[in-house]
Amino acid sequence: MFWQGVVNGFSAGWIYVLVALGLTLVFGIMRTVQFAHGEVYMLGAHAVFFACVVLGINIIGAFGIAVVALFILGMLMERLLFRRFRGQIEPSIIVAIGLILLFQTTAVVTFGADEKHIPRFIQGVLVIGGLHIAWDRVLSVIVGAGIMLALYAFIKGTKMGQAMIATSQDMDAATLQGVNVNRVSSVSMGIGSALAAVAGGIMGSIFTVEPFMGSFAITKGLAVIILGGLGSIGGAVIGGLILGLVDGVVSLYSSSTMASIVGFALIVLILIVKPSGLMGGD
Amino acid sequence: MDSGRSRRIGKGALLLLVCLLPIAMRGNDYFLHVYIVCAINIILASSLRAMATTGQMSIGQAGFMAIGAYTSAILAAKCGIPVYLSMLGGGCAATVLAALIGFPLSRIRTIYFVMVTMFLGEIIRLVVFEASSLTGGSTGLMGIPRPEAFSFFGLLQIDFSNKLHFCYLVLLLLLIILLVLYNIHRSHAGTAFAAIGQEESLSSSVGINVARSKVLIFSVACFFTGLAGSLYAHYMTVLNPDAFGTFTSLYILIYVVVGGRSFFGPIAGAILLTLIPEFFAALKEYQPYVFVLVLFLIVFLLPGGLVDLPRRIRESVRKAPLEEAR
Amino acid sequence: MVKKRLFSPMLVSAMGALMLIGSVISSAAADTVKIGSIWGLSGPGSQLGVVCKDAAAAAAEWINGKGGITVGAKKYTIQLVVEDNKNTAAGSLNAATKLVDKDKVKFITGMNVPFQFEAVQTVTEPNKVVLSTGKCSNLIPKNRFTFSATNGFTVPMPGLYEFMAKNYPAVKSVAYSAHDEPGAQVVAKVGRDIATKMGFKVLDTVVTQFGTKEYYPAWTKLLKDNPDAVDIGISFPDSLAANVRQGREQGFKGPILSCGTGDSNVFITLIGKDYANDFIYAGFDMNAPDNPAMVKEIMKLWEAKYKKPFNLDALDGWSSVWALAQAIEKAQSLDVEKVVSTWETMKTIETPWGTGTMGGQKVFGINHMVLCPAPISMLRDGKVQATHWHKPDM
Repeated sequence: MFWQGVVNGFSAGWIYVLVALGLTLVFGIMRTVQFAHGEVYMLGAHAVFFACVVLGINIIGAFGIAVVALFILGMLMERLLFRRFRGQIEPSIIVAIGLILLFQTTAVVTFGADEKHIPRFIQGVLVIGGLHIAWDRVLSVIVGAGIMLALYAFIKGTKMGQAMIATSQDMDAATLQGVNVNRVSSVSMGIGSALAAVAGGIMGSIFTVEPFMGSFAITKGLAVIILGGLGSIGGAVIGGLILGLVDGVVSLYSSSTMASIVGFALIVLILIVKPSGLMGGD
Repeated sequence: MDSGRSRRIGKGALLLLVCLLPIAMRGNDYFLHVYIVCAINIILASSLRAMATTGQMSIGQAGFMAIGAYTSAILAAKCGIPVYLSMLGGGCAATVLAALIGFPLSRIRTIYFVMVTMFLGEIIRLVVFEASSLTGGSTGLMGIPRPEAFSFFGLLQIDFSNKLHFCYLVLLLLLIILLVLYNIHRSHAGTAFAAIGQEESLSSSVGINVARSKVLIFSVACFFTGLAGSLYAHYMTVLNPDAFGTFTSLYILIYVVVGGRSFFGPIAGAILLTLIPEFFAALKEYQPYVFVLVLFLIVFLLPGGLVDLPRRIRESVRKAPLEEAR
Repeated sequence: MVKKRLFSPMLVSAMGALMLIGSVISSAAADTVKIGSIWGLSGPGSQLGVVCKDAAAAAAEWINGKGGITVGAKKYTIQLVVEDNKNTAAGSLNAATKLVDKDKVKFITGMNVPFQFEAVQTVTEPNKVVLSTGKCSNLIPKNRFTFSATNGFTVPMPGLYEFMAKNYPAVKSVAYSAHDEPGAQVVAKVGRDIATKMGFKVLDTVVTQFGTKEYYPAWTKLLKDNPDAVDIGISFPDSLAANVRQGREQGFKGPILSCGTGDSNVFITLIGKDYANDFIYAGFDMNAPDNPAMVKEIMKLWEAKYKKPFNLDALDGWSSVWALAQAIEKAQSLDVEKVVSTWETMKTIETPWGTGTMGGQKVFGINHMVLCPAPISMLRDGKVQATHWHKPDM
């Protein structure tokens, strides 16, 4: 039983990593208090659902549409709303809360509050040595790992990625170096939102799509990136896996509520002792 | 009559009006219900504002509200303790947690502090969920008693199952709490808190014990938040953990930011934002859009909050004659 | 001069005539009975609330179309006052307070989640307002004005176990999975009692978190005892579906029972065709040709009015209004005490699933549950294999 718990936790952990992907960029690196990230993830899931189930486009195309749509939404959010309050925590929180209500209500009146389902890519279960793991969860691990690597390569290897790092470290210095800070901010929120869409779509196929699925994403996402350290992609992976394993194993011997409590208590402890997280260097 | 005096008479008249309103509307139980909810929200918002003066902006106050609510409810319903005492017990329980966690938290910088409070609030809510034999878990606690009835010198019968009487209990507590907070705000300690909020390292260098001040105001704020929770519990007679999630904490923050950071800001914010859902209830599922509109209007056009409105109006009125002169 | 024209005598008399006609029309509709309708229209789990609210509105419209509720010489039109309780206890209390204090209703319909109508009862019982719930599984004699318009969750359970015993004779042991919500725990207890009485070995009950869709840890715990069958109890349809699917993913091959209601096709889609096997539950296929006549009529009305696919859970909403209307008409009075005493003695009452009767005296001590024929279906190979109608006796 214990090892099945470990396997459960490992796959749950990668789901958390997937969900924290976009947030790592927006909140971790660019330090925008984007509390509405969970709702962006939710809209992404609905976009995939709409394109795939309602419009009948094949699943890959549906993801493509959702990614593009949410990239644009992310850029618009930054340009119209968050840019004005860059660096100011409280107004950003208000803007984010406004967006949360806006997106949730729009999802409810447009799509209905009922749970919807995105068709699963793969059916079936992988069985290794008596341990079971569903193939669609294996897929989420693969996709999560792939995107993490791509994000890492992007940050370290491209000019835009480096510009994001520079902006997050010292905005004035970056501007002096010729970085267009406004464009960098827009693009990063765009990419972050697009990643949220991917996570939403995958989660929507493993579980369900409904207007209130975002609160899970933002809570777990924040927990992951704080545990791992703001700004660290590797940290997000480690943070997600730790939280996942805690959930998978503790819930076997106690309850899943207890597992969440332990997980969050761990986060609080980290924030008190080393706020920069496991891999963050502040 | 000088303008200061006439303004004070005006404020007094307004206060009197607010206090007499429940009696005037005594047949209308729905009005009284909204009045009570509004008063509780004002307590929550004002308490948050008080601790936010030191830079400790929390989005976990619903957790402390839950501690107050459940402690008081359990003490009264399951241990048979008189409600007046159990409500105090609720406030004290919240304060104890605040004092315990306050010192480690006082060292944490702004954005991390916000995050910690969010997770703290979540942990408290999950603990309520988990301890279901005590708290009723996800389905909640029922049968919470109203405060015991008593008679005032044999003449006036006070029975708190009557909404009007409960209304005045809440109003009384609200006024007392606001008086205490106002005195803190105007006191030497209040100035120290504001100084910490502005520039923490500088305050420390002029001799203000930053950690102790922060913990002090945090504990006081949480006492009132816990008390508000107890009031809520004994009013509703039914408790449910979803009422105490992060969203509720965010709403309390909205009351403060929309109202403005001055002393009276949270009062204005709480009143406006409690009334909006009631006025626009006819819109059903579209009602949140009104809320969103108000939020965006405030944050973009009136960043100082509602209390800034009179000043803005005065300034734009003063500008007008200049433009005409051109 | 245009302004003068606005007050021309012709316009004034036309407006006067309109107002006269309007007042005649509204006075003709003066005989209305205001009935509250509380459902969770926002917040998590609201998909059921929205369809139930829509079905309640459709029921009111259908009844009004047939002349309304006849009481003596008058015909009363039902005017539903809809409130959203946001799926919370506080919201339910607010909604009930508004309906009773502001709208002065004497009848409220709605809700099938215990903590919600329990909050409402703190207002309706002291104020002597009839509460016709969509589904109330724990009636208490103290709550004299509360009724359950449909079978409680536990009603079909003996039928579930009998069906399983007949079709899966090799089953010897049953394990249980239940939410930490009291209603779900009651369901699990009833299940254990039935299993014990029928001679099954009762294994452990695993507690899951209300509202979760992650059942892997629960199944990992359940499977270590190697049960022959698992009773997953009551939850929202998509949670039940996730539960079944994840159990199959973890390798469980035995029958899975649930007293959850809902449409077979929805379950098959959510569970997935290859995993929708050996699932026995208290619902049926809404497209089956031999369904009860009233179900078919309701579906037709629904599709004409709302132009969206029907959802079987909506029948709770329909019943909450229809059962109450029948009780009022049988009592021939709008007086609350008369309606209550009539309703609890009705020998026959029409339900979407066929003719039912008032019951509950034996189990709850109060005859306030509308007992209807209870469908029990089994899914196998991604299809509904059989539907059996269980006649409850309570």
